[in-house]
Amino acid sequence: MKRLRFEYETKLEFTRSVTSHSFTLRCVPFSDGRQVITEPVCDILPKTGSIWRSRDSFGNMLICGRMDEPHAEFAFKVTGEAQILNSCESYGTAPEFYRFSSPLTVPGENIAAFYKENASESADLLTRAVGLSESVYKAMTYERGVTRVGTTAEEAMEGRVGVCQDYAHILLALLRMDGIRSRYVSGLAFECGETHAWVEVNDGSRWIGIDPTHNRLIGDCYIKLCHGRDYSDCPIERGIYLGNAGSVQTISSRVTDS
Amino acid sequence: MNTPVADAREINELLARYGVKFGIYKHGTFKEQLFPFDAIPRIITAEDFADIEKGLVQRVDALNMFLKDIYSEGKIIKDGIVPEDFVYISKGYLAPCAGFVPPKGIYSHISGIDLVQAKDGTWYILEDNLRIPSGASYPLIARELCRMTSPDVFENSRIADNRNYASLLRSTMDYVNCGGINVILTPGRYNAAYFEHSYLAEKTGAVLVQNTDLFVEDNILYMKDYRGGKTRVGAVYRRISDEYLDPLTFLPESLIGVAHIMDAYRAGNVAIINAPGNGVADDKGIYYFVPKMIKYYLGEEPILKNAPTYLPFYEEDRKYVLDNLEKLVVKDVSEAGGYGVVFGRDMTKQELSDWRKLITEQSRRFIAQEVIDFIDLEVAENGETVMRKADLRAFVLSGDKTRVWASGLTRFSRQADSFVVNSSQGGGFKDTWVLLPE
Repeated sequence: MKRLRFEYETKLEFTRSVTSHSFTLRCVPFSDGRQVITEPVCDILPKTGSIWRSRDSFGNMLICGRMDEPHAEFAFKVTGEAQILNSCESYGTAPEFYRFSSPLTVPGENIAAFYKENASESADLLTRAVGLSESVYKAMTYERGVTRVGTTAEEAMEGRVGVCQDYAHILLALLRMDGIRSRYVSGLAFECGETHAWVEVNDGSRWIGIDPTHNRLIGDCYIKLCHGRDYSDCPIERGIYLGNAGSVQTISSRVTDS
Repeated sequence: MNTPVADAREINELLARYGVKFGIYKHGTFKEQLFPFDAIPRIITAEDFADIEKGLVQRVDALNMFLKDIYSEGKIIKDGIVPEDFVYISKGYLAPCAGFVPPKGIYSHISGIDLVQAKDGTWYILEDNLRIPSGASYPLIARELCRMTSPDVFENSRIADNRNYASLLRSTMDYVNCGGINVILTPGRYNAAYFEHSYLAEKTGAVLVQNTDLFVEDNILYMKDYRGGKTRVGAVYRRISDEYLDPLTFLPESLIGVAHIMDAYRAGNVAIINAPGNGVADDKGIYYFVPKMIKYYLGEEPILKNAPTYLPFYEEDRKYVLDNLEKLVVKDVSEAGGYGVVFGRDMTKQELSDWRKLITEQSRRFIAQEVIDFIDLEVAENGETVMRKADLRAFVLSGDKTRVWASGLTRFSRQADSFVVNSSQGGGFKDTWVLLPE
């Protein structure tokens, strides 16, 4: 078991004041069989409007809110402690829909061809999943600024370039072609100053975390924030507002031994 | 009785004056057009209606059980009755609706089931509409106007009074209401069915609202009032489609939705009528499986027949479709409103071969059906009586029990050779008289 302290902050600076701002945040990690979260605190600025909690159909903890007053800056900061009981797995079964393609993971000809080349014959689900993850890791080049949040697995596969989100989407598309139930995970990890994305596969009784960007099973420095079929199901921050304004986003995160 | 009940011109003028219009988008511009009324009523006998009624109640009950099943355990899939490909990758399947049962377990509160009567008298189901079927207001107001212009016709006859639609709808909303008022949520006056939204609000006593009148706090839906106060909403009869319902769950660019309404819904604090996610059950591909669902969930034989339907998804059916394309009608499963419907008999050789290729490549996307030679009804046109194809949209309301409204929307094609009756394709409508038993 490992104890970690985490700190995660996102700041949105609008170019002009906005009003009627409604948002949903999936920024507070919750306890499952792998991680126990103690005393998470979420501070939201400006301190106005109403804030409440909710849950989505994927089981994520949501912070919902509405700010009617004009504001030019919006920020949320989460801090707390996590005990990581187990490096990479938690008990649980998966709903059927995790076996089927989702908006950002629909396979096209690039994914299909890549799957054909790299699928393994192994009878062991985890061996096949880890093998696909390794193929993705080897085929892709990590580079920022090429892909966007809405880039699909197929597009990223075609360009062979992307960030952790794209690695995860490609792996999900391949796993689902292989009939493996799998989900997208957003979270925090040691080395990474931002948020990280990885994948969990379900073997019938356990969820097992695989990080295709680093070609390994997740370890005890990973803290999960939320999950879904792909990124579009579970963005950490999603909001709508009135006001013809652009925004600049700054993210920082820190995970340290406690 | 096949005579005009009233002066059609007079009724159409009244309809125009009351703003009974149909809006359509064509080539990117919005156009309102009148929905032409024909004064010769369609008459359904008491015996016919008794069968239709039993069959529709059975069908809608099975469809509601199907929706509840696939959004929870998915037993019908595990038991191999419906292939999973027709559920989890259907456009209408919404993962954000999974693992949750709506108030009282009802998904399709208002179902619009389209039927046609073949020349031998058999009624066939053409299509189930379980999302936001529109059209009930047209026969309702047409009857109201006919009662004004020709009161004598209705005084001494055995025509079922259809004015109970409002109370049926109201009790359907009340039954699932989670505490608070009923509202009808409209996208506004540029919607095809805006007349209907305002008319039904007036008739049921629900408040007609747009998204800016509503907000969510602590997972409870409220309506703002003019003094800056708030009133809790317990049921929303929403007339906007699923993808626009909540910009924080579905399409973020939606300007007509209500932020966090899905949170209020999932918390069990508000009923959404009809439930989001119903599109998975009125997909034209799922239509094929409805008779199987009736047997599976109810252990009964289907009372009403489907039109003979083939799924190119199954190899045997695909072969039949490719061999017989000339005489079949092909439908795109994800389209509605008469769009995406093509008849093999209208295709050139080249088109036939293109369609064969398309059907082979995208077998999940289409269904093919035998063309039912459905009856023509008399329509008065320029002083003459002509025969036109017509269908019937029956309205089925599910509350404490499932009931069929003893009326319905009869739509007819205004072109002599056309089988397409949809109002968005320029069709007209008639009143539908259901006769009471002797």
